[in-house]
Amino acid sequence: MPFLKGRRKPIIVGIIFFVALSVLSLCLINPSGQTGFCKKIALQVISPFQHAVNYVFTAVDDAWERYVFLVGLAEKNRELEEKYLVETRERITYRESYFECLRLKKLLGLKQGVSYPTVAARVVGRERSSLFKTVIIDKGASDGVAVDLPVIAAAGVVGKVIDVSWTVSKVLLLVDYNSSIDCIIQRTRTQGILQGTGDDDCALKYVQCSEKIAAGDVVVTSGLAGVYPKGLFIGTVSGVERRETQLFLSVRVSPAVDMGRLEELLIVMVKEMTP
Amino acid sequence: MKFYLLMPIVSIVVIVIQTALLDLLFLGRISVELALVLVVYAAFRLDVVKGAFLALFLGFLHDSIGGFIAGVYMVSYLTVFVVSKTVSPHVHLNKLGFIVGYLSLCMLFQGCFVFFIYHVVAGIDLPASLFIHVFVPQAVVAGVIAPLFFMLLDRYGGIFDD
Repeated sequence: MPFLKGRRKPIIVGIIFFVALSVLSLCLINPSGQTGFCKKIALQVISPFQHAVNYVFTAVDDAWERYVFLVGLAEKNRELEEKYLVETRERITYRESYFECLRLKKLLGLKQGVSYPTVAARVVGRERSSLFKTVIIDKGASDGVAVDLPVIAAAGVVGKVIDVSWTVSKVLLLVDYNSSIDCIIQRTRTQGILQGTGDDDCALKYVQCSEKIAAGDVVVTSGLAGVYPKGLFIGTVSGVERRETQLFLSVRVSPAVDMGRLEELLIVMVKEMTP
Repeated sequence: MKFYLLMPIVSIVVIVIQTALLDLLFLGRISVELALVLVVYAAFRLDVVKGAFLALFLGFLHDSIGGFIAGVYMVSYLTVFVVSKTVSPHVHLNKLGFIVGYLSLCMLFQGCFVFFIYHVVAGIDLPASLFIHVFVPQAVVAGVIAPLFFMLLDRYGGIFDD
C-alpha cells in the first residue's frame, strides 16, 4: 500500500502504544477484575526464578542468624524468660475471662465466632522497594485461592490477594498506598479506614478529633468492608496527632507483621464460608 | 529474528534481577530500575520497532510482577522510550555526565507519570513524601548504575546489535 511507504515503523510503534494504553484503560475501568491470561503466564514464568533467588538468600540469612550472629543471646534469653513469667500470669487471667465470656454468650444465645479455613503459602518473590508493595506466594487458583481473599501471618493481617494465576498469586501488602481496610480500635471501638502510606506503616483515617485514642491501642479489622473477617489483628497505634484546624485525627499505625520478613502466610478462605 | 527470540529471556532475567536479587541485596529499601535503564539503552542503540517491543514487554512483566494498576509501567516505559528515541539523534551517549543526568531525569519522569496516572485517571492524590522516598533515591541509583550497565551491554549485549 503506497500510503504505508516509509510510515511502517511509526505505525507499529503507534499500535504498541495503543495496546499499552488499552491495558491501562481496561484496568482502570475494571480495577477488581480477574487476572488476565497473559498476566497469569508472566506470573507463572517469573515466580520460579524469584523463588530460586529468594531461597538462596533465605538460606544464607538463616545460616548467618543461627550460627554466626549469636552475640547477646544469653541476655535476650533472660529477658524472654522474665517476659514469659509475666505473660503466663496474664494468660491465666485471660483464660478465666474467656470462659466467663463463653458462659455469658451461651446465656445470651449469641452465635459463636466463625473460624475460617485457611491455606498455608510461602513467599516466593517480593516487590517492597518501589511504589507498589506486593509479594508473590506459591498458591494459586488450583488451591482455591481467589482475588480479594485476605492474607494473614502469625502476627496479624498482611494484605489481600489481587492477582491469581494457576499456582501462584500476588498479594497487596497493607502498607501499600492502594490498600484500604475498614478497622476498629479494640479499646474504644472507634471505626476508621486504615490506609497504607507506602512506607513501613499505615495511617488510620476518618477518626474524629473527639475520640480518645492513645499510642499502644490495638487495631483490628471491623469485618464491614466485605474482604476481611471481623477481629483480625492488624497492629498498634504508634502515634496520634491532633491539629486544631483539622476535623480528623492523624493516627499512625504500626503493623504487627514485619513486611520485610514475610516467609509463611495463611490465606483466609472467606469465600468458602459465604453462601 | 534472533532478537525477538532472545528478547523475552533477557527481559525475564532483567526483571528477576531487579525484583528479586537487587531487592534482597538492598533490603527492600531502594528499587534499582534496571528495566528502565535497558529501555533507555534500547532507545539509543536499537531500531525503533525492536526497542518499542522491548519496552512494552519489560513494562508488561513489571506490571505483572509488582504493579497494582496494570499498564502503568508499560505506558511509562514506552513514553520514556519514545522520548529517548526522539532525542537520540541529537546527543551522544558516550559522555558519562550525560548518561547519569539523563537516566536520573527519566526516572523522575517515570515517577511524575505514575503520580499523573493516579491523580488524573484514578483520582488518587499520592503524597509528595512518597515521591521523595521512592523516586528520588531510584533516580540517584539509576543514574549511578547506568554507565556501568551501558558499558556491559556495549561489550556483551550481542542480541541488541542491529
